[in-house]
Amino acid sequence: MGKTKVSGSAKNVTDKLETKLVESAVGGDIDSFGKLCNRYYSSMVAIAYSVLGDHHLAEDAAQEAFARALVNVKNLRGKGKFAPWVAQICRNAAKDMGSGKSRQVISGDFSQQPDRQSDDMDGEAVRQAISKLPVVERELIVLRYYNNLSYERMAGVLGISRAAINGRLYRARRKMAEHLRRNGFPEVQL
Amino acid sequence: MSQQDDRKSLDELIWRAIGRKELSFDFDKWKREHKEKIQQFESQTKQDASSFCVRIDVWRQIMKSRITRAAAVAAIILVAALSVVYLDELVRPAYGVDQTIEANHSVRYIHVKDTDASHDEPKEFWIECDAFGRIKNARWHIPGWDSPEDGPKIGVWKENRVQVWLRKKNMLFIAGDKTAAEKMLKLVEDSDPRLAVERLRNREAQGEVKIQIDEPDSKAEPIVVTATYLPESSSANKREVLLVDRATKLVRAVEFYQLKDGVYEYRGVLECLDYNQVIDPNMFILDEVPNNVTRLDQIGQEVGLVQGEVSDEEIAAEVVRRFFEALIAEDYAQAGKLLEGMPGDKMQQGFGHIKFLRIISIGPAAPHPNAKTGGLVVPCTVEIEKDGVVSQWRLDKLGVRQVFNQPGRWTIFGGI
Repeated sequence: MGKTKVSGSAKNVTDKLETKLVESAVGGDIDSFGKLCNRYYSSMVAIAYSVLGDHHLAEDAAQEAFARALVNVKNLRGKGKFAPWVAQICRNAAKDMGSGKSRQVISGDFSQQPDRQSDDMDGEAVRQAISKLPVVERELIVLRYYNNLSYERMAGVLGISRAAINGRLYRARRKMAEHLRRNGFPEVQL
Repeated sequence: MSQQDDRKSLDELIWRAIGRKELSFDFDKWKREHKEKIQQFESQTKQDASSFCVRIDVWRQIMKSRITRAAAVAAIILVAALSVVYLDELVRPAYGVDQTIEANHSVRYIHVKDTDASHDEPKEFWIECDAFGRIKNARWHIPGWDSPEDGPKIGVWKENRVQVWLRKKNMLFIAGDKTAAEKMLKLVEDSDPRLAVERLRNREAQGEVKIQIDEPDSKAEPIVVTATYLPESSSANKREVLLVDRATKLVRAVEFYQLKDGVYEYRGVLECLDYNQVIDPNMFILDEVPNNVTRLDQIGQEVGLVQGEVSDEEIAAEVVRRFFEALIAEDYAQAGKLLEGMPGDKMQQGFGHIKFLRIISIGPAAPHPNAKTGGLVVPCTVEIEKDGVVSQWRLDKLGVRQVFNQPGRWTIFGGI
């Protein structure tokens, strides 16, 4: 059978560009930092959403995370670790926001959606199933479905292997299906 | 809850529940809202710049000297020359599976984790090989989900002798026959990533699998070998993805996929955690077994009943008949031989308080619901007397299979 040699793949080109952006940002170039933020904004909002369960708050948390990252970017060790590093800052920012007294929204309480646009019974059941997941699995589900991130992209954001993502997503979806079934939902196709 | 007749896709439900369009980041607006942080960042940059200027000045001082300038130029030329040599080395032949097979010959120790997508706890194996690459010693940990009736198992294979401890039942199987050892080893070999590559090559040669190799330019990325089994293969609808280390050509992981509704679904992964990290010889000694374990030593005694010319169903039913006849006769040693070689005193401890009166019915035998056992189930009913009360005892899940180290001999293994 033939061999397929892949050279200059899009992923490698993107990784090299990102490394250059990180180097520039560490060197003091604010615009390079802005490009990195633009690249990972959706992912960070998704991570914050998995904690807060509120879209607007999630965007606030992601932007706060970038602000915190900016003043600490010179401490970043490993130019390939930018995304996982910002992701952790974002989780912390979301938790800080979620524990703030000014908001009543419970972290990760997806069933209490103040901005839910329609009386969507199915959606409520699914969001409740998501809220029952362990934190790590909930974050994976939201990352995957919030912005339709690829597995490769998720691996880059979280700093874990594709194999780990595969296994955790599979288990998370099984748990959700089981939760929906136990709560009277028609059997879903995994 | 909405009443739907059709099965829904979970993917579709989740997307509808939480999916959002791509968000856009307004960097200018963000800068306006975080001026303080911007200023802090810029002042940090100025501090770094001033220290950098100091380094530049030092460099200029150095380069004023003729001697150091000549040395610097020589260094640059040398680096350039080395770069040419290095670039030549980068032009290597494309990867081929044979390179991994060859690299496997250098493996003496391996530690493997086998994770099923449906379960959190993986199977784990430690293997020591001889100079010819054959398994010399092995240890394995099998979690309880693999065989709920047996529970978790820890096994070691050393010098052609197998010991398997069933923690839940506190039983220790000991088998020394080469055949038994090989059967136990098959479990280990099925999880040996070295053999995964050889199996793939053999099956490709037989036209059963299509292999695609992706070799990224970055040395940090593994080589990806995708093996898709063809529809006519006995493994149709399966796919294996091997991640091969660029430097060593050894397999880092094997991912398993199953085709379902046109999509290859992830089923599990075999991960090679360590290659050639010397494994402590004590790993291959089963010393965690408690003193009160029930030892089923199948080396020094004949276990089970010889099948002869009769069918599997017939011998299974006969084993059950002889077993209860022995219990009726209170011949616990004989009954124990038909129950994996359980010692007679243990049999008496377990069954001595029951008086077996007669056999009411046996069979018919049927394939065991757990196909992994490779055995049969023989439903039966016996009349017993316990605490002065006569009753019938119905056993629906009495399992019978061939003895591990004694092919052609059959024994009861569970369900009682």
